[in-house]
Amino acid sequence: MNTSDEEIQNKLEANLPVGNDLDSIAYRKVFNAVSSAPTFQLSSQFADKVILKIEAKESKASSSEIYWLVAGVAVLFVAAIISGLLIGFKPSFGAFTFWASYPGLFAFAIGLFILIQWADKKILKTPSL
Amino acid sequence: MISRLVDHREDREELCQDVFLRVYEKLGEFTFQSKLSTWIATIAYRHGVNHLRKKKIEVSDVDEEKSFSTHFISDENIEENYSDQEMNNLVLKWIDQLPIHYRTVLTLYHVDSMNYHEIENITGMPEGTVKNYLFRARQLLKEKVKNYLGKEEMI
Repeated sequence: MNTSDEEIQNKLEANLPVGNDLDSIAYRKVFNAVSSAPTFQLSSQFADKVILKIEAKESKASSSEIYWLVAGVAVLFVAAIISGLLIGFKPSFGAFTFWASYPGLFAFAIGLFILIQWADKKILKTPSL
Repeated sequence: MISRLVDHREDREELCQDVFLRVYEKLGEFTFQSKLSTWIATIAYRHGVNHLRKKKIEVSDVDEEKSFSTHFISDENIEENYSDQEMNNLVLKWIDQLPIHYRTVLTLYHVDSMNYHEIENITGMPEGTVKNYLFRARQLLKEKVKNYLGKEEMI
């Protein structure tokens, strides 16, 4: 680095006075100008455009999530049908046929479930913020 | 930052939108290891540089320094006396002609009041390079102004 140039730059950075030679005068003018921000203004619709871009990106992301969900369910469904055909699966309620002998117990279980849900909503309060 | 890196107005606006979008998306990843302004400036700098690379505009380190300096400082046709404000505008115009790394360092240091360490984090340039670029940028501008002032005295 040129010592004289470095010295003048350091002095101007520290807001110290510099000489009146051509180098110092030129540096003063440079330092006056470089702190000015470029004269560029964003358009008045800038914020709207950014929001539109965010919304477009989010809706694209959520529609792709739905697409993958539907595709996953469809693949599972097809796989289940093929597996069923291959092993000769016959639908049966199996252990659930037990309920047919105890309709009262079945109704009681449903009633109890509804009661617990109701009590949960009524008794447990929403925590305050 | 973007307006110093990119010349076209439409591109600037588009890039600024992308920077805001990126900041919105990545805000959750901000770890408070630096100032928010430094983090945003880093995103803006990388976006700007990527844009220039896509447009095949030279962004590499400042090479062929001598030939650039000679070309940069060379005489212009100066036929008028400029006021201080006009001189400022002239210097700002000359800044736009500097290599991208010089412009970036000048803007971050003088306009955004960032220190060498912050500029190092944003641009990925070593601190010594940042200091050197800042010195050289100011020196080149000084030579240009000096050249002009010498001419003005002769007019």
